[in-house]
Amino acid sequence: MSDHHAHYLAGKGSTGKTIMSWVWTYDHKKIGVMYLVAVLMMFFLGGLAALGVRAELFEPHYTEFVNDDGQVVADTKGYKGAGSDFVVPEGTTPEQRGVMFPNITVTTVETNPDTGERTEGTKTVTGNNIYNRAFTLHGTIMVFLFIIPAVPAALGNIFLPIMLGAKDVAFPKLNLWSWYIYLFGGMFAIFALIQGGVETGWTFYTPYSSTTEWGNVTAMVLAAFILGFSSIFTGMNFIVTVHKLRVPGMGWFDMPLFIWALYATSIIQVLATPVLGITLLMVVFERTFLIGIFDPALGGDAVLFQHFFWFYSHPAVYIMILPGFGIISEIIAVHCRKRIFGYRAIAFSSIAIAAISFLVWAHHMFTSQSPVANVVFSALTFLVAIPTAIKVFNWISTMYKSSIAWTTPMLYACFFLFCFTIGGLTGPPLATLAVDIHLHDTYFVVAHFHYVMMGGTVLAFVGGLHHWWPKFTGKVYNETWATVGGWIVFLGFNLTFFIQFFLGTQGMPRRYATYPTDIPAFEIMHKISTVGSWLLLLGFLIHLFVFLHSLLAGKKAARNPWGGLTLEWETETPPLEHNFEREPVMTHGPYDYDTARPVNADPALFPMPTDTPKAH
Amino acid sequence: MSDQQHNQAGFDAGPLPPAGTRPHETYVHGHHWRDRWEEADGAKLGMWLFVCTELLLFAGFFCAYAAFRLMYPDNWHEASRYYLDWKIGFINTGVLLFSSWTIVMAIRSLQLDKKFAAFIYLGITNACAICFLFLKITFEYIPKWQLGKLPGKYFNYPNYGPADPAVIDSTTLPEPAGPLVDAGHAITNGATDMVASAMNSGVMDVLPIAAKAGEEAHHVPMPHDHIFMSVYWISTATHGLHVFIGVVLITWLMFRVMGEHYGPRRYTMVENVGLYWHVVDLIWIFLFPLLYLV
Amino acid sequence: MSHSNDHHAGAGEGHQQDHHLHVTPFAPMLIVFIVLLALTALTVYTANLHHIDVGNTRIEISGTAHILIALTIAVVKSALVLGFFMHLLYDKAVNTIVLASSLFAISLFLGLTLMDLAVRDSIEPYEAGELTPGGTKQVIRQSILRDEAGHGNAHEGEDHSADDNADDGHADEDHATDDQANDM
Ligand code: HEM
Ligand SMILES: [Cu+2]
Repeated sequence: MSDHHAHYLAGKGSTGKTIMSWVWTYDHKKIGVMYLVAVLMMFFLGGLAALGVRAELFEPHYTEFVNDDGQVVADTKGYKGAGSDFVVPEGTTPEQRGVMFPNITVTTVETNPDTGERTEGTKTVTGNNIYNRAFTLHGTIMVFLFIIPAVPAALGNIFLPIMLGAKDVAFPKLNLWSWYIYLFGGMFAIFALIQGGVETGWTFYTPYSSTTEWGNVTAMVLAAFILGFSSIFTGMNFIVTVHKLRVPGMGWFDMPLFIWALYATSIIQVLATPVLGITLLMVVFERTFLIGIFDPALGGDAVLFQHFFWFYSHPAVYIMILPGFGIISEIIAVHCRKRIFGYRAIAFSSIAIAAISFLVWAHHMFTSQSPVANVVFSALTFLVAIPTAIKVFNWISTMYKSSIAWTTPMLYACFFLFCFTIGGLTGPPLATLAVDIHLHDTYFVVAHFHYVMMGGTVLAFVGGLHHWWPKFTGKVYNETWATVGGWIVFLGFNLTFFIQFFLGTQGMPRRYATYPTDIPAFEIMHKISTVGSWLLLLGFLIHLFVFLHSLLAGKKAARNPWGGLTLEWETETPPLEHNFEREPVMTHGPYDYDTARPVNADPALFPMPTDTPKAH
Repeated sequence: MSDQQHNQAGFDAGPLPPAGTRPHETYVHGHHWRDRWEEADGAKLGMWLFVCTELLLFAGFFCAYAAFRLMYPDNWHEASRYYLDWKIGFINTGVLLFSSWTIVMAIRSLQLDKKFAAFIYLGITNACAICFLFLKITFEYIPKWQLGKLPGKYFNYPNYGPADPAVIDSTTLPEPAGPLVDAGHAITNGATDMVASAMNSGVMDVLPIAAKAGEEAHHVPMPHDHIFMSVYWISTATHGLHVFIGVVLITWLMFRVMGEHYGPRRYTMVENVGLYWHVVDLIWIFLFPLLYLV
Repeated sequence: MSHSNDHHAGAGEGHQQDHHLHVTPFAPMLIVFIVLLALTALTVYTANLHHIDVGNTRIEISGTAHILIALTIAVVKSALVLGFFMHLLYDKAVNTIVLASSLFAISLFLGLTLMDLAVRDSIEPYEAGELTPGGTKQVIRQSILRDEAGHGNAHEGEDHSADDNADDGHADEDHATDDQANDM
């Protein structure tokens, strides 16, 4: 048995022992920290790909579009109908044809359709396809390796048991497995990347993904399949922990809202991810055994694949955002020092979102499924806006007439409210059938989901990181610079993505390496967007340096710097090996700011309403 | 909720026997649990969540099955009749059901502290599982492999080779094959009378294939046979993989039982593997009629 | 089976003497097993049955009826397995709720997907007009020109601006036939 009174980051005597204490740990906090480091690395990797994508779109590099017969049917100087007398504009040098990205040589695996024999070869990929690889890389890494594990597996792992007053998650070994499975899946993805990447988009639509000759699709699809297991295991662990390991005296409605959000997330993870697993496995079968289920050329059905895929991937967008909602509930309550408005409404709306998320998936298929189903799914989709709006109204009501402390986490909570509301409100227009026929697969959709995923989840994640940073690292970070970084991220984000709503309504399709030059607005808007992406980079780099500086030179953090009432603020900073010296006793609810005094905090800093009677 | 029911039904064996020194009696629960019964409850809840993921995983196969059944009902019905033999499936169903019962009995034996009975019951379960795989492989997979009844593109249409879209969808076929494929093609277009006339005209009887492969003597090859076989292969193979994993788990349990790791105080692992095994059974309960019978 | 709610941290071995052991019963399980076998036989029997004779009238069993019969029996069988073999009848309700939630998800998955596939051809698909070189923009421009030629200055300013908007809004159609591989 290890020393119960050492905090979890403490070394173990020798370097070797310390390393082993991380590699082979059942401590949820250490596993969470390892996840955190990994997802942050993935965030920067995915971000690099995004910067490449944006850089490419800075200019409409002259490009020709060639049809299957090798005929040039269009170019970026304006549309030319097939068969029209097409002339390459004078003065176009060969270098100008094609995109910014260089041509590269990659390995391919070709399957002989008759014998099933597979031969390896090499092929030159043109710049256009490199662009496809770049955005696919960005999408897959951000979705499967960053955003899905970001909040639950990293921050959730560190804080869920502590906030419940438990010593660990229900199945610590499974937790470690989940981490190594994540690592393993991540290695598959990196392998596919090194081999030359994948150009299917993160959605892996068939028949393209099942017939394209780049063998890397199999590796990438398997990566997502493996990562699914990791996600399922985390979800199972959290559900059982919440059910069985709450400290005595903590009823369901005494749980912090972050826990409610993680609980709802876990339900989706357990119920939706297996379908992604089987879908991706079937794509692998398509590629290896040519089973033809998703391939129309073999008598199968490609729309069936889309149903399979979105049955997971729509609920998955709630796997991404629900934990973010949870973080915001915590930040707003703590930094506004006020009882959260509508606790039960927020808690139940998390569960409602989890349930409704299974009803709406085919709003991604308005241009491919049957008209009747379109109508049904369009109507159902509007439902999901209700619980989402309930949350937003409750947060704003909590802030109303409260004493807001303008810390970095609170700043981020406000950024979240601003951006997520825009993202959420652009959902219903997309769910409106007739409108979506026009907007589908344009930059409007890109802007929509970046406003909810980046403006929502990522901003909440960064906010939560600052909120809990002092607790789990034991170090103080520099508020000034963190605030500066926060504002730059906020401005950069809006500069990058707000303009994309207009690009989309003007008809700029997504996933193209270039755009026509005869619509001057396209070029201006793309340029603005790209400049925004540089600001984003700057903002995140500032955050990175603030964190590194805090780790290396930060002052020791107090036990309860924000005056929070949830259990994680009652334990040591950083927390002990088994979280608490003795089992905590519930003396107040998580948000009883009007009646309970925060422990371990200076009463002068966090006065009660009764301490200083109002003058008027 | 059900304590009373237990007592009424007389399932209650009374207080636990006094603790001894055998491994299952000295077992210490995980430090983060209140006691071993809480730990057991938690483990079981976790297992049920895992059961859910298994059901949803197989739901994918059932969805694919249902989708094509909906799109090509006649083709599906015919293919199920002619490519699969219900007798093997029937025997296998019995085998699996029996093994489900024996694993339940293994848990009962442990609760009553009868180590050897538990060991024997687990052994029977394992034997059934292996029997299932043996029957499946020798009487279904190997013959089908030899006849070319493989999934998707590797499926060999009698006389026409692999399922090539060009062969399935066009009439530009070698002469003798013409009427047959026409007939098959017609079915998906709803022109069943054309098939009937083809049958009446005796085309079916003179085809060489009828003599060659007895299995599909009266079968009109249809355009989506290969998709049926795809669904058959991937769903039964995935199910078979689960059976195989079950064998591994149960073998491990047998060793653990012999090592006295399980007894009246500790049998959660056996229960959980039991749950897993019942899921394998549950899936088969649906796969069998859907693939082999209807 | 509310094992241990009355036990608190550090419950020693002695405490567990209080536990009553809920042993899996013998007879019910055997009966369930036999019923399961009988139901399997019934499935096979009904599946091979093509018609029933009631007196002189012969009732044909359609393909759909066959599926319904087979599925009903399968549901009964699985309910028996779940309730008895998998202990749902004896366990805490939470396990049943967990199972129910997965059945909820499965039924949505199968139900709504099949709903889409079943009604696929039930509405005449919208027929897009022929694509013209230059896209819809050209057509609109031409119609404006035609209008202007025909009516002189009859148009009011507002109308023109509306046309201009339509112009911009259809810019994406210019790309409708672009040939990039990943247009999805
Ligand atoms: C108010 C609630 C929401 C509604 C009504 C809604 C509606 C929609 C619709 C209809 C689409 C399909 C657009 C198209 O492809 O034509 C879409 C796309 C998308 N939404 Fe939302 N959405 C909502 C909230 C969210 C949230 C909270 C997230 C994630 C955190 C999210 C993430 C996405 C993503 C990732 C896509 C694009 C997927 C792709 O094609 O790659 N949405 N949304
Ligand atoms: Cu969606």
